[in-house]
Amino acid sequence: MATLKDTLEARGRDLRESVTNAGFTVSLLLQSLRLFFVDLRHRRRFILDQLAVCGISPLPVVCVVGLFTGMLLALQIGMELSRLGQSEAISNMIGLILFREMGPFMTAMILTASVGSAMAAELGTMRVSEEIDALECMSINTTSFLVMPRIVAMTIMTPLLTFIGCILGCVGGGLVANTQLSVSPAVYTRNLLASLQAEPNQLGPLPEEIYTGLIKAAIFGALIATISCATGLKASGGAIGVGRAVRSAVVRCFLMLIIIGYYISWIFFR
Amino acid sequence: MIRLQDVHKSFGDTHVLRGVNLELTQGETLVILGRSGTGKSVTLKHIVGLMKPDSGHIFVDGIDVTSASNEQLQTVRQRVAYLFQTGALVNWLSVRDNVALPLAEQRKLSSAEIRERVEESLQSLSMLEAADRMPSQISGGMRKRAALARVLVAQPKAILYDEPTAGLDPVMARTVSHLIRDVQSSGDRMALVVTHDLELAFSVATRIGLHYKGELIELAPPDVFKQSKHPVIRAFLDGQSDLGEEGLNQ
Repeated sequence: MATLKDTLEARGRDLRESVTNAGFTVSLLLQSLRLFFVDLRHRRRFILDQLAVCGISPLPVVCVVGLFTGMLLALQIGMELSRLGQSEAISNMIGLILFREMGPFMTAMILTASVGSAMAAELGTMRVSEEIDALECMSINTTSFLVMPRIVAMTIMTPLLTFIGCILGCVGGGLVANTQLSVSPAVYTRNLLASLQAEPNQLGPLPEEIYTGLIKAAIFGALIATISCATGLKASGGAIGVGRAVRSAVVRCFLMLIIIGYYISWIFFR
Repeated sequence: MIRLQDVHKSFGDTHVLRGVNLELTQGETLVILGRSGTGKSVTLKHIVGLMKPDSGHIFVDGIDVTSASNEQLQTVRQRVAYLFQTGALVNWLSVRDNVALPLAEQRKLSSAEIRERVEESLQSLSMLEAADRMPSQISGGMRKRAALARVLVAQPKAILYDEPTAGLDPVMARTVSHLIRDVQSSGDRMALVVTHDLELAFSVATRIGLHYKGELIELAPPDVFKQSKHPVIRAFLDGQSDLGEEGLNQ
């Protein structure tokens, strides 16, 4: 009986901790949103620094992954389509898959692994080495100083990197379509644009599918930064605690990306 | 004035503070001695509201830190500065930017005024030549001095020093202890120093107490403290590992 009681108590503690963490993450996002309007002028330098961190360092990986994802998609889908005599439809499928789902998700995964984990490690290290306590002692709002610039930078850079990744994916798909499936570049491009703008577009000069993908990417960016910062700020217990925080941040980001990603798609494309 | 009144704090089963009472008045330098890991730093963290006690009260200039609003806490933190053991400089800012941080964040002074105060503070600690270096590019002693410059630039009424000589070589430790003495002699600032360094304690203190099993024993001037007959104090001063528990049992 004692063992059952202990187990239930432990699960209860875990549940309470999860709910507390979720609440902390949401409150961090809301505070950052408020502070964005209040402190934007004072945080311009930090936001620019973070834009460089979030945008420049993962760019090569996003480019390579984008290009090869497009090539891989073209190869796999192209083989099936050519069996049905529909090779020319390859660009329709690549465009839709990349801009709607794969592009934002792929970029978010890369950013979680490269930038999100670094954010959790950086803030976690600051927490365990008392740097955050020192900031609080100087009456510095740590959400405004550390978290808000990171969330803003990720919300801006994720759609930008997604767009670049998707364009390179389409180029990669075009290369495979041309060399392996004998689809001419003109036909590939025409079908690609047609697939991306199937309905009249109210959002702007670009195809609607691109906007919906980019909105999704922006939400993913905010999500990755908020979860990573929240997890880093809660780190405790020295180097082991920082390691645990990084692992936890990456796992939470992946789970939330899948779950939130589904609901965003459901809202846009149902 | 800083006053701790019957402060208790536990972490799980470990009772770290058992009814700590102390009072720190203007111009005084109070040193709390004690072995590492006995909760000396916990006492300091309570004063600036980084930790909340399980029971008891902490007053800073009449403000009860344990029930202070955010604005009151901000006032307390502008009056009481904390020098962390590691310096706790922000790693991605230069020494100069670190020192400017408290003033820049208060947003009360112009850039020129901030620059002037930062230069002054760095100059007073002979840190001007390292002003543009990053914290990772300077030695432990310089980091401590940079952290002290950051503390002084805000002109606080009280400074809490957390193990200021920990991890420093004897020469640098003596330099830091001279710095603390200089800082204290230049005004009516209060200081609370927690340390296990006897040389530092006797060189800067106006009163000394020993933190033992969650309580403060014998808060007295250095000369009186040195002559104390209390077995725990005797054992600590003589460097005995059992801290006079035999004497207490007898």
